[in-house]
Amino acid sequence: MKRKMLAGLGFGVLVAASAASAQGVKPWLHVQVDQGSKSKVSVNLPLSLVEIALAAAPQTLFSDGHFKLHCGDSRLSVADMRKLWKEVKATGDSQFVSVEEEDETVSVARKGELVLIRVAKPSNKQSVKVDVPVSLVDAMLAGEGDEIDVRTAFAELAKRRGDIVHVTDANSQVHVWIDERN
Amino acid sequence: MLLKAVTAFSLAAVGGIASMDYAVVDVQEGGPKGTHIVVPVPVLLAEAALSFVPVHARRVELDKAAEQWLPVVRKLAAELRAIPDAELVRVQAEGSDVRIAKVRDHLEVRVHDGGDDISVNLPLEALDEVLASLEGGRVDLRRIVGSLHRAHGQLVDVRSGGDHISVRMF
Repeated sequence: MKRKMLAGLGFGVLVAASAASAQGVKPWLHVQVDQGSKSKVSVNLPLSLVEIALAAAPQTLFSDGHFKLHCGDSRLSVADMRKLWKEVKATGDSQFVSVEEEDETVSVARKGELVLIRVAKPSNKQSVKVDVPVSLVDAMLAGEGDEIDVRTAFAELAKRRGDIVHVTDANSQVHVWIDERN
Repeated sequence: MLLKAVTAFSLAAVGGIASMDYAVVDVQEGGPKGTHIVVPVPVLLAEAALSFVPVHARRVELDKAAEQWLPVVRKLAAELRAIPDAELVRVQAEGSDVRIAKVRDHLEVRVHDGGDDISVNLPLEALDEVLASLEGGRVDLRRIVGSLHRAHGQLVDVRSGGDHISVRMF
């Protein structure tokens, strides 16, 4: 009798676990832009859907294998980024960048498996928080030459749960995160 | 004997008509003298009528740029069917509200802009049918009309400046 009960309980747990994994493992990307009374935007998409859309348009994101940084006319090649990342990664947990000005502080640091980018401008009530998983940067720069492996990077991003971007200023808030809730 | 045959034929005809899918287009113009038109269109008859249209006339060439997006749209449609119900996009701004949600087997689009309200319920199964009809870079109007067999209930409801248009499937 006891054995039957245990078998039944085990089967129940198995069914519940498989049902939960079938429903819950899908990561969802959430984007919220709140501009107070002006406008509110909310986007909730399964990453699988985003991946399909992204796979269709890699050319518009990258050109000639170069990741375009919008810093005037300067262009940083992927190969340069790879070298830079290799050095940065080797240093382990540390603060890579720290800029303190009268009304602005910028810091880029590695803490465990995350690269934390923080910008604060108190006069504008402005703050930027970006958390990038180390594994995501690894995946992006895993290829050779001047290519960014978007697919591998995306697969890595799908493993992330929690905040990715949080931008706040006096009039608006932008929040990007991944979880398993629709 | 003849009476039995006529009765049987009538019942079969009534049954056939009753079991047909109907698209009911309801147009109500605003104002006290606004025209009200209700057109029930049996989908089967619309399909049959399109059969008499020459093939070249009912097939529209798809734009090359649009054609290359078809595989992506197909994958997106398949994925949409697989995901659970959710509000996918919501944009609220002064005087306007746009909402796109997946609700059961439909994609619901709701737009409120000032005094205008647009409501579209797109059955994902019908979307699959439409996408399947785009094979070979051509749009086949007959298959698009045929996809309405997969739709039920309110498809479109538009209210603007006193006018009201609705398309409902029965």
